[in-house]
Amino acid sequence: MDRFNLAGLCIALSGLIFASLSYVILSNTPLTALGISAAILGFSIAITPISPIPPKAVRSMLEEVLASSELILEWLNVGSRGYYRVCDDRRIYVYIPLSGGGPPSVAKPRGLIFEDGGYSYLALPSPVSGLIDLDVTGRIESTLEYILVDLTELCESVSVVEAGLGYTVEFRKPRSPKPPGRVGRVLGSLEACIAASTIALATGRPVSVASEEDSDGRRIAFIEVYR
Amino acid sequence: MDRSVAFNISLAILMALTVSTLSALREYRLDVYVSMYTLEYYVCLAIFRPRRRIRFDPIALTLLALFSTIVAFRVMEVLGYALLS
Repeated sequence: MDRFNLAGLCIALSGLIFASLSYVILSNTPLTALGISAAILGFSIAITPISPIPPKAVRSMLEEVLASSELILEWLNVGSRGYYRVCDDRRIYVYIPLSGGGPPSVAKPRGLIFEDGGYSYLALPSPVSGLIDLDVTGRIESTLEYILVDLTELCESVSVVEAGLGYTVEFRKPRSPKPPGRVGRVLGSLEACIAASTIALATGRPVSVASEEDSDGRRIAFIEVYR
Repeated sequence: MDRSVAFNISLAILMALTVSTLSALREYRLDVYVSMYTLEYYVCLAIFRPRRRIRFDPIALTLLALFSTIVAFRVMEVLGYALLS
């Protein structure tokens, strides 16, 4: 708790004391109401987090990570769709097939490039792995709302619908551009990347960004979940 | 401006206006003030969608509980149970 929140708590407590004294001793309703309003405002300030890093900075950092991933993919000449999967240590990795093949059966990557079931994969940590709360089971939409709307301000609102073999995620007024080239094909946009990582963590299954399209100020991504 | 800060500033202005206006109108029922605070809090919450340190909003829940109690008392009063003066 920082000084701003502590000040809020002090205002709240002062307001409560003032309201109690006004009600008991003075029997004055407007003053009691004033005390109650100070208490509400104080508690509101006390539970308002102050973000030390502005959302714009977080957003640009994530965009830079995607730009770096683009260089790696370009250098390795990789363009297949990546599979997001949770590792044993609860970190999320993107497994990108280098020579065809579906989602890998192993949970933990053995090096940057490894083989599984006769196929080679490139394993990259998900750019947003550290942002996602570890306990997301049953809270996909609220977690996405927290990360995309509150923390990074990447879009105005987000809605998640379970549909068939995956989830349809709709981002309203996305602020990051759809990445062109390989990153867009392999990882998806920044919003889709966050959604895929969250769903991978929530379901514990490999997922991929199956499709993504922009229309009418909305971005709709379909996140496919594999068995 | 950050929307959490805008929320707190708007709430402070609205509450100050409520207290000054209602007291100028010689309103002495505390439940009227609390109902107005609840309304203002929820309107600001819907408009600004402020960030919170905790997942649920304890103030919103407390105000809703208070508002429900006030409404319940008023309904009982209308039905003939004089509980609020």
